[in-house]
Amino acid sequence: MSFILKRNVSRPIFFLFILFSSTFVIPLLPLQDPLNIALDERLLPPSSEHPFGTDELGRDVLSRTVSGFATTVKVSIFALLSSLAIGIPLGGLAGYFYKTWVDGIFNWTVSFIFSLPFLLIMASIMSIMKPGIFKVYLILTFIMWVNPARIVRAEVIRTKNLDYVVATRAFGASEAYTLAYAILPCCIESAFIFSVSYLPEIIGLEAGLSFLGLGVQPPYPGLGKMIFDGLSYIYSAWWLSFFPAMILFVLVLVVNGFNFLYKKG
Amino acid sequence: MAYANLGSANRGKKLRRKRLVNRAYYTPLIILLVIILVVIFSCGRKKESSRLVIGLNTQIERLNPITIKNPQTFQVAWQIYEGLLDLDESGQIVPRIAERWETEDNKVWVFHIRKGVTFHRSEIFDTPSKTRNVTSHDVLHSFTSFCSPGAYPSFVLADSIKGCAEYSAGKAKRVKGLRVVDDYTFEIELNKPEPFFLYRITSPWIAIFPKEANIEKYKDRWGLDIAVGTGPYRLLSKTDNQIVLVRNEDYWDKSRIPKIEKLVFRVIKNDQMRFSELLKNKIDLMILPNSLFFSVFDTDGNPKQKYKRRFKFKEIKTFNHHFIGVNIKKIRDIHLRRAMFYGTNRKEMVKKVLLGYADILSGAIPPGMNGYIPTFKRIYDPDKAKKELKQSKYDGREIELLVHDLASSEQICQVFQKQMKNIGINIKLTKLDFNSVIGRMVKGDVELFSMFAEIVFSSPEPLLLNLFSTKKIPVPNFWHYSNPNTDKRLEELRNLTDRNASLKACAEIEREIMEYVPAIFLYRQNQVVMFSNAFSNLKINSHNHYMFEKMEKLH
Amino acid sequence: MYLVKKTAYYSSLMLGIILFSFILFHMVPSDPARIILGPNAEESQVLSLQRELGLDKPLYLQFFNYLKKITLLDFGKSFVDGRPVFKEVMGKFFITLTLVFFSLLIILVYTLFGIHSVYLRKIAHYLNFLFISTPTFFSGLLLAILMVKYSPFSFFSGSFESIGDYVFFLFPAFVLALYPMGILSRILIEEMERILKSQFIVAANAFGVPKRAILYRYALRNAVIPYIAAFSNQLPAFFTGAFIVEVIFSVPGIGLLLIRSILERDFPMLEGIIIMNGLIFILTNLLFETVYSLVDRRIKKS
Repeated sequence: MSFILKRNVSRPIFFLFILFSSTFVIPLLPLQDPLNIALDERLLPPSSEHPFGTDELGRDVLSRTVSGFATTVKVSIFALLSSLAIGIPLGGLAGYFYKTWVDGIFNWTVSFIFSLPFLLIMASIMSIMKPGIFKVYLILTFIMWVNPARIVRAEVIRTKNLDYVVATRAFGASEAYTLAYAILPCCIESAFIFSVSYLPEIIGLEAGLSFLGLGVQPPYPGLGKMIFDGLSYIYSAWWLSFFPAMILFVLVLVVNGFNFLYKKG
Repeated sequence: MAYANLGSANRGKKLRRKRLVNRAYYTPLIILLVIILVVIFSCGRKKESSRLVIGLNTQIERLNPITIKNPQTFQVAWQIYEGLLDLDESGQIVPRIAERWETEDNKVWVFHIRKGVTFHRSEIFDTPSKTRNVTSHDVLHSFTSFCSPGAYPSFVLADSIKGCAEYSAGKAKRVKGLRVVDDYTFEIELNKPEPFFLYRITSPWIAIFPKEANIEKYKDRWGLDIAVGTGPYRLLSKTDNQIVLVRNEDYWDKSRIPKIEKLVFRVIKNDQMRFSELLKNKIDLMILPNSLFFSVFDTDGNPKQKYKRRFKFKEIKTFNHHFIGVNIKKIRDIHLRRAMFYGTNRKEMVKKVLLGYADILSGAIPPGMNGYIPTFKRIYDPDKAKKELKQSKYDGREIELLVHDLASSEQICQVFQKQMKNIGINIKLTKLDFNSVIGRMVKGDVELFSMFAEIVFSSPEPLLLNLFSTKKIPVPNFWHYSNPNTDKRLEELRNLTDRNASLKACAEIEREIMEYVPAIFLYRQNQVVMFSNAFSNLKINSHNHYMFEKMEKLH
Repeated sequence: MYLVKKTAYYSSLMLGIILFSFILFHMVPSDPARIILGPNAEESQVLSLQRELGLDKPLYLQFFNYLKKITLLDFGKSFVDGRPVFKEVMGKFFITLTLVFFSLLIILVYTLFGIHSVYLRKIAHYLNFLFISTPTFFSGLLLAILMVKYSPFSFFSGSFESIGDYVFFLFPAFVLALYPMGILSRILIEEMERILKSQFIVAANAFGVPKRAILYRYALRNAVIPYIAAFSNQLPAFFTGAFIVEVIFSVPGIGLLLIRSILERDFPMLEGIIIMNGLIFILTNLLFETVYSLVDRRIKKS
């Protein structure tokens, strides 16, 4: 598929790949055990031994932040890729069958998902099954697939009646072939371009979910959860919330920065 | 393609519109002006005399005595409502709406209702004075309501009062054991004799409220903006974030008429924000949550100097217990359970996580309950734990512990997990919201669960009967503990009329039960109340009843 | 014909929402009667309460009963404390609406402000980048901390009694507005820059049309179209953000009610909230479609 080599698609993929592989480097770093409870070292301010201080159970905040960062990035990227994997074909189908019942169902489903309060679905699903980071991933995918789907649908509608597509059909190609090889490659491009701009939203949602307590299970660290737990100590032990929040902020900034620069060039 | 309406460009007239300032600059200026005006206005607020502002950490429930279950609501509700009896700060029973009582066989109890007690003035009363006297008909109505299916505290009375269980199951039209003898005499008949019956109703939970609460017109507003009781304060206004109570000038006990005229309760969910409000003197009193201990106390658990100067601290010991319950049906191996019991370092939990503001428990009964003294001594013994573990058939599998989101449960359970790892037991933590944990606990679909309870009884006997009788499985005997010997001994408690003999028997029974490890009781959490130096004489009893009527404001 | 189609579409959406949430709640393995009565109550009492609340009937029967009641505008009573659901949801919704209204005001002011001069646009460019990158709860926390320490208006008493109550809303409204502000302002500025380079603007300039008029009457009119489109896209996220802000600032609106109802398994209240939410969504959809066609007279309702 030559479209993968096109700059517009390869750059976001490359960026995501770099981000993702950074999470594998993390276990190799010489950091302390993020789960090591040391009750005599509770709530210590940043020092040479604990550059980000310790939390309310004496664990090293630096290693927990880094570990939480890895979890967040992994889940977000997985969710992003799955939402692309689901959204693109669905959007393509809807766009191709524009003005028929297929498109009608698609639109109805999208409106349906938008009109449900997001939080509600989260908490209900969490209560049904045992909570965990995997469920977070499922939920994020369920919510996010609509975005690439809509974009692809709009693009497909636009390109559907272009000359070369009509020509492909005229040459006897089946509908499936036309869709897959003639139309989609052009449309996926926009989806990929936009994909990286969804990443901050997904990251924010994941952090928000852990913030509300529906995500990583104790004792494992999660960025949102650390921020939330550290709130109670914000005046006395500011480092508990500050560092995870900063890392989150920097992550989102970097992703947006990529978008920003990339759009200009 | 853009679209424009060049035709209206005023080509012909060449009017240069004079404008002084760019129109869009107006809006932010106006907003700024409004803010300035508002600040000026608010600075000149009158200070009200004799007012106590209390910070709450969560919204309180509807002030309906039969549905209240959140201890935060008690702080407010028990100023308005009173019961037949109460407990003073030293733990002695004092009469309230009941003036005196007697019993011959500990089975039929006769209460003499105090004359001259009136309800708060309210529109729900059809009399010209908007109030009326409390009679035993009100007591009948209240107690019957507490036995109804929708009543949360019915478990207090369901086993005990004759006919109450049938009524709460919807199988009877009234409660047989509640009888009005005359306007000021009320009789309660129990199923079986209970010398400790009074200790079931010392909490203002079982309050007396008027039957007009059920009138169609007021039913929907009852507990929301109407709350009529007999207590020292009456309800003035209630919104979701603020409740105002005002002194009841007609209170029956003239020696206890409140000195502070108004009580204002403000809901500020965020602990830090509430604390800031206290420091800014916007609120006068708050319960110090665990998360703030670190910033308020030094490492020895004493308040830091800067806070000591402006605030007073009061530590109260209430009837509660925090524990890790064990489902005996799922963890059948008694050696494994004993290993967990002896491997738990409660002292570390209390000292390091709670900064010493808790008392270690070895059994279900908190110390001080009606004079109870626990007998279990040495309970942390890692060597003994390891020995028990060797004797058990534990294969290293992960045991699931349910954690909830209140009361330091998460922190304590993580410490527990580490302590268990040290002796060789693998624990997996699953965090759910509080109600989900209760749901699974009740279903029996758990292995270990972290839970705590505010105990409504003020004596050990009903507590033991509730938690460890066979007929109480699965609720509230969540650990599925069944032992016919224990059942027999618990029934025998009904015949012990001497207080000391009864307490001694309780201690022995508890010790027997704990050998079987139905649960790992950890500690009794003590509350710390922090309040402004301008106030004094804060009295709180072991039921968590804040007696604000005794508080004074210094000048 | 068009109206009939639209009504059918939206009512089927509404029905779908109600059905979905109904099924979702009843799949949740927790018993509201047990939660109301707590862990100490006997099973017999719990069963009795279930009967009283109508929870023992089969699912489809409960669903139809519920639909019947809704058509009479009876949304039932809360499981938690028996409050009438309709009144409660309306009241809380009003508070959330106030929050949203203040937010929208702030967004409007900022976005319109940012297109004035080239200089302002440059500043806005970088500010927007910052705003987009800050997750709502992060900025919320920051502002909440600052507000508590330095502002005299840090408490909302639940009803609008004093001026302090109104001013209090500015803080959460600002936090809520940050992210949408960044996105919308960026879109508007980009569009404006694009349009200002186009031929007809050059022509208008040449004709001597005052700069103010060019900006507002010509350029803005066109730039506003994608602006409104993006606005309507932002709405669901806007409401989610409103919930988060409510949690942080303890504003007693729909968000907090939603969370509390979920935790307490308060089915009637949850259904009420979802229906309200769905209704809002549908109404705003309709509103935007109308505004769209008003602004750009080329779009006809077909």
